[in-house]
Amino acid sequence: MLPCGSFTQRYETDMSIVRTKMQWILLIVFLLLLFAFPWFSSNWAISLANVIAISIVATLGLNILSGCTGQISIGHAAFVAVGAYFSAVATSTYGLSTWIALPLSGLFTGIIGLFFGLPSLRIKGVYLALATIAAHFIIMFVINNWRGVTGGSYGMQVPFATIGGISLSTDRSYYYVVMIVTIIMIVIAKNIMRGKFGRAFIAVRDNDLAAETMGISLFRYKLLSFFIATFFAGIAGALWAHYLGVVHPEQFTIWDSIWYLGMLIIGGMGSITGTIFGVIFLKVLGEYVTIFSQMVSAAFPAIAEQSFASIAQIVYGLVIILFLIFEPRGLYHRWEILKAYYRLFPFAH
Amino acid sequence: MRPRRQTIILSVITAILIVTLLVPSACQVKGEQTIKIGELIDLTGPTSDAGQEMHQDYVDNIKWLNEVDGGFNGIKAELLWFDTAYQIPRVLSGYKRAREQGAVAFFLWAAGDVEALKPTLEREKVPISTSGTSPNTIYPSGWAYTSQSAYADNFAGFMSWLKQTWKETRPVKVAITGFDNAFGRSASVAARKYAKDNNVQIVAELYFSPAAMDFTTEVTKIRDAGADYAYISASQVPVAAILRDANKIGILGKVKFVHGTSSSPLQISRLAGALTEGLLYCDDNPVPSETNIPAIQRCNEMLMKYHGTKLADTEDVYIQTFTRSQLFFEGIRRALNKVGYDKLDGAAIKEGIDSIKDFDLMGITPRMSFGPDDPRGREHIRMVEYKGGKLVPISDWIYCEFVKPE
Repeated sequence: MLPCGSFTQRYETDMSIVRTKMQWILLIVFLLLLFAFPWFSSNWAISLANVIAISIVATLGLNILSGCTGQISIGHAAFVAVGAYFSAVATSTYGLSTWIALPLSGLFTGIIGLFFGLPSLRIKGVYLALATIAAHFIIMFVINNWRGVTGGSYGMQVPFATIGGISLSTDRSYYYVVMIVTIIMIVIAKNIMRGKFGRAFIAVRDNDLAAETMGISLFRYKLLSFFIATFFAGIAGALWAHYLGVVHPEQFTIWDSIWYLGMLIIGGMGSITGTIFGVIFLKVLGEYVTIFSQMVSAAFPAIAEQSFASIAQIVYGLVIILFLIFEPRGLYHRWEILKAYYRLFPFAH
Repeated sequence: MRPRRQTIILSVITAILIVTLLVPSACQVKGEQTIKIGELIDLTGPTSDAGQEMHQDYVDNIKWLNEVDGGFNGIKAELLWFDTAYQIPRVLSGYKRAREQGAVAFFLWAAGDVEALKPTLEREKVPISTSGTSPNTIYPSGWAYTSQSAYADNFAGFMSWLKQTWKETRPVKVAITGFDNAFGRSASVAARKYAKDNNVQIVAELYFSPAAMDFTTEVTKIRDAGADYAYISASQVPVAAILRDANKIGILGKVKFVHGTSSSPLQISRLAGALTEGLLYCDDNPVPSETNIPAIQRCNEMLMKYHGTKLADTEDVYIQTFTRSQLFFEGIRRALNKVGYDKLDGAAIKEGIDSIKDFDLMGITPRMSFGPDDPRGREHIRMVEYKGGKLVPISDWIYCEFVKPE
């Protein structure tokens, strides 16, 4: 829906993502604020922003797979691990540049994703979810036991990214790399979703039998969906590896896979904006309950802090449950309501 | 329109929540000189059974330091704790937040946490004392210290004891089981290096998820492998559950079960009860019954002051945390004496810890030393057996090889 009084007169304007002058101004102001953020923020806030951005890249891939194509995956964290370890091995063992290892990590992970996407041609729903859980355990088993390459359960050191001899080892310096890559991945995801592939994915999600009848090759598009999703996961993994400077199997647990799916559901499956909202909401909520538990335990020192840590986790889970009960379509639906209200103001309908 | 009003209210609440995140934590003691020590520990999550116990012990040590010892030369210590819930992003977030609040050193929990922070610790020059001691966390020596035998060293010490006590000519058969992570797999690093020299044959290596609750598969494989001993590298709940399942299939008593550090004997005895009879423990602390040792007397005094109780017969974590805290405090004290409060930073504390040699920690023997090349502090273990609900030493102190990563 366009703002009141705005009309498109050309096809190109109708198809563009940014359609009005005001939207362009808002976008530019947002980007300026985004890149100026490190200059007025604490190290912790910059670190949180980095983690959020990397999670957005990973979850965007899952959105294409689960949100758009309807293929539930509970093994996404393992593909992030594949990307992280590929980049770690490429840079630390073979001396490749980070800037070459980054896209190669995505490609390599995409190829691995193709292999694990093969079951999706035969099974769907809960059965596919179980197959992806198996994929997670298979990949982590290989990582844990292929000691000569991955360092096994001890992990491996990863060199920090450098530009012109300057090491990007601090949160502030790496922030710009992460943000630029995240913006590029968002643009790629957006264009996939509104193009031919995106329409095919949605058709497969809504009714795969009808889609096949209409000429959409399930084989091709399901595997393509897995490839794209795991490509995104690989990029996120590589970003994560060069951010921390170390990769370790415990950074990629089955719980992380479940949380990626949780972020997607909270944000709104099938939408890019929803994915971003979902990631930000859950990450910020996690920080908030930690601070809340510390504030309350400081106010009631007679009660053990463990109690407040546990209560904080209960609050965290309760917020998610309440959200799913009262807004099952996700944060993106709330955003749409807000936008509609703004655009129609002061008219009710 | 109701959804619209709900949306506006939700948006306002969200904006308030985000703004409060950017406000400094209310926990900070404002206007008072304090030395802040960060603590990143699992108060929730799969290893919280041990984390909660250890956190309370750290709190007691800090309280005693402030209330009885008068702090560090009159300057109070402040513990900035963060629940990491066994998640690396929360470890990062907790670390950054604590650093922002002025933490100069940290107590850390899991080996994975230390590995994740290692490059950051190197860059920011922040020393930590960790209970998570896989070979990679403490070697090469850097900013991570420990005052208990490292996981792999603990198993190396156990193998040395086997060499001393195994009477048969055939190799002693040992099964290793534990968490499928750096902690659980550390024993196998020591096994690969030293098993042959100690006449030990590793007959099974079985790893499980930290969230696992049933170990019938593992104990069945231990039985089928014909193990004489089974070494468990896990926290207390899995240890107790393994004893339960071993008893269920009838191998308890036929196979000798042993557990290493980072499993609380107190919790194991509470969970497994009579099944712990004969269980072995590679202990690196004095046992509660050694009340002639001033350190044990101090632990009892602390427990009486803050909890109205004393060391239980199978308590060990309290003594472990006491040792870790006191050694770390000694390092901070030495740094403070050398550089003063205004120049106190991580590098000075590291220098202070490294200067600790043959330290007499209230009668605990053998004495402890640190150095730039040896961050371990504790290099000896003693075999202890659960007998009649008590921990009874059955060996002298055994030196543990410093097991370095492959």
